[in-house]
Amino acid sequence: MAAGSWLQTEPAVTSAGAKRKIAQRLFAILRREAKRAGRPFSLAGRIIASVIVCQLVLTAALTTVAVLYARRELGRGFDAALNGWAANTLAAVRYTDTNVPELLFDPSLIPPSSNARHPDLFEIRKSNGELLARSAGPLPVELKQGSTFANFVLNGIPYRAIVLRQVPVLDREENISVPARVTVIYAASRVGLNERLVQLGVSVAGVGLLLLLIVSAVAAWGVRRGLEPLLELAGQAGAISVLNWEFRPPAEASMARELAPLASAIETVLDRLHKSFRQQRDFTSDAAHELKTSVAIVKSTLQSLLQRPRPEHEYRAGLESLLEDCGRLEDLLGRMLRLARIEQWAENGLNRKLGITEVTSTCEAAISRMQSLAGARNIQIELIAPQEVHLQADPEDLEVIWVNLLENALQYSPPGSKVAIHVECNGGGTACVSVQDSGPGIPEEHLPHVFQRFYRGDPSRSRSTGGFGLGLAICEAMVTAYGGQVQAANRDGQGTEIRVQLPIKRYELSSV
Amino acid sequence: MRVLVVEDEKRLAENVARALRESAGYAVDIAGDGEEGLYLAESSNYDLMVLDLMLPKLDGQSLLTQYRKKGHATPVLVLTARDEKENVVRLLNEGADDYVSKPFDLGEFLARAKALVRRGKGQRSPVLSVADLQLNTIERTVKRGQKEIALVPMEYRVLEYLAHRPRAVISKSELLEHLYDYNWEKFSNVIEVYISGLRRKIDSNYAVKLIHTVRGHGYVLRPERERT
Repeated sequence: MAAGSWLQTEPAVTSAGAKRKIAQRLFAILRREAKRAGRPFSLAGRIIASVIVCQLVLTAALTTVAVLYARRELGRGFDAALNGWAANTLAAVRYTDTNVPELLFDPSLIPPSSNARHPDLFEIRKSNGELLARSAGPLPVELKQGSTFANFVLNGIPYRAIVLRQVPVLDREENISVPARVTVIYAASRVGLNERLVQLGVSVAGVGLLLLLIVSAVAAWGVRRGLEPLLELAGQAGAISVLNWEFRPPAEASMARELAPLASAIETVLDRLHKSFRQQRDFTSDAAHELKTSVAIVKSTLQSLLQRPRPEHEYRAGLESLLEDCGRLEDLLGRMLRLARIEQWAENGLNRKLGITEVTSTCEAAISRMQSLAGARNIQIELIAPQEVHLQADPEDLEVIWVNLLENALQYSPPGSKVAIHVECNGGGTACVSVQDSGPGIPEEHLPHVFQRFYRGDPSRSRSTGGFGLGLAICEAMVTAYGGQVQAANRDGQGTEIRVQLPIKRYELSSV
Repeated sequence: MRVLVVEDEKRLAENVARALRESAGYAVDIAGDGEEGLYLAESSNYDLMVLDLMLPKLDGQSLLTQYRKKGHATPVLVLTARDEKENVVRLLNEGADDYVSKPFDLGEFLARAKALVRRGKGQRSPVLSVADLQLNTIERTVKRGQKEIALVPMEYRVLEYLAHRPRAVISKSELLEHLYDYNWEKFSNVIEVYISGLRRKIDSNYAVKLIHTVRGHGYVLRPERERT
């Protein structure tokens, strides 16, 4: 057998295998832990666990390598020692003093056994194969031709044997011209060697485990310390409320490369939330303002009627104007409710079955509804629809959009002018409807705000003409609910164009 | 007294104007937007301005700021739907004298309007008295001694204006300006007619005359012993 065969049936390897099994089990636990959705887990715990696992693997590898290396080196030394012991045994073979010298084995010259408990074994044969001497019993070893070493087990004790073939017996050289040759087999127990290997393995592994304890403690402390900015960040974020929108990420958190994106994400989200919160509050306050004004009109009319006895025609006129004011109030409430409902759709997704609607027909319906207002202001509404455009929508929803756009256009167009509504299919992907008026246009600074609720950049554009500043907001909410876009632009001194683009293909209702 | 109402909500403006005319006997001008309001306020002398905040063209706040910057002292009563504290504080600090929040009570509005007019003339009591003449601006009644005197509305308004600033000489043109809104043709002899009517009802039976003509200047309300 070659020296490489030492690598097999190795006791230290089994201990490393056990460690690998422990590591595998740890990984399995970690994986299971990660899979348990909904179960709270500790980030620090995970980090510390992975540190421990790494350290365990490292210790196991280190122990294995050390044991293997030591085993190879010690094995070589053992082989050299075997060789020496065999040579010493050979030295116990001598020639007799007779004229024809014979070979003689002198047992008193045998070197002491390498292991007291498991005595060494040997066997010496002459060149013709005749046994010259041997230890207690026959060696249970069969030596193949050409191999020098062999392993065997005797009574459960591992042995290693060396064979020195046809070595000359060099005693008393002067008398002998051709020295006799003998074959020496010498075997020694490997118990001592294995014990030393186990000792080495245990001490390396022991030091490794000690280091593991220290490293784990340091890792636990370090991770807790490292996660402190995260806790601080959480504390800051937790302090945010309706009353306090101020978010100051702790300096340590913004400096940490891993936390900076989190901190800035929180800031962005808060900013957006704050903005929408403010918008909501503004809407409530604007709505309250509008309602208060309407109620103020009704109340003042009633009180003024009651201030003194009046002729019947004054009461009648007062009641008529009250009825008119109530209608206005009703209109305002209706618009506010509609806006709220559209936004609710957009939020929850419009869970209605939508059929295919032809856009031009809804425009025609809207025009016929606005005809009386247009007639009163002597404005002509022109519909330009070169082709039919179909899209998936509720026809009433589309009509709401066009009615509000037309109402807006009619309000700002001078009497006798024209309002045009164009329907186009834009490259197959979107339906594009634009409403153009010939009014004074919208000042550039107000353009980005015209879709805001109750927005009155120039109040004379709305209240005096009967609007509340809700029509365009309703349009925008509806268009957004359908996943489209609406834009307002001035047409070079020829009035305003409001352009609605709606997706034709089946769409997901986007949330606002 | 003449009041300017700057309010774009036509119906509300009319109701306010009617209340001021009927219950206070004031002349009322209405402006439908901020620019018109500022123009009217600067071109005539008003005894009170009633100002809405949400106005077309020029908002009420800016109107007020510009008006006060030019040194006008007319009291301003603001109508506001936004009665949050900071809003009210800002308004008062901009030079408003008082405010009512919508929807307001017409009676309260009138009371505040009258109080502001009074204060604007340096009066505190709603009952103005000169010698034994008593003018109740709330009930719009006039007494001399214990005797109630019945006046036609225009006579009462002339007397009320004079009584708010007793002992001050008030010209015919000032009376014209403060007693009529801009829809009226103004003829100064109309004033003479009312003054003579007042003299007949208030002074003719009493030794102490109260209404006097300062030739070339106007009229004055003050107690004066009868010349012997």
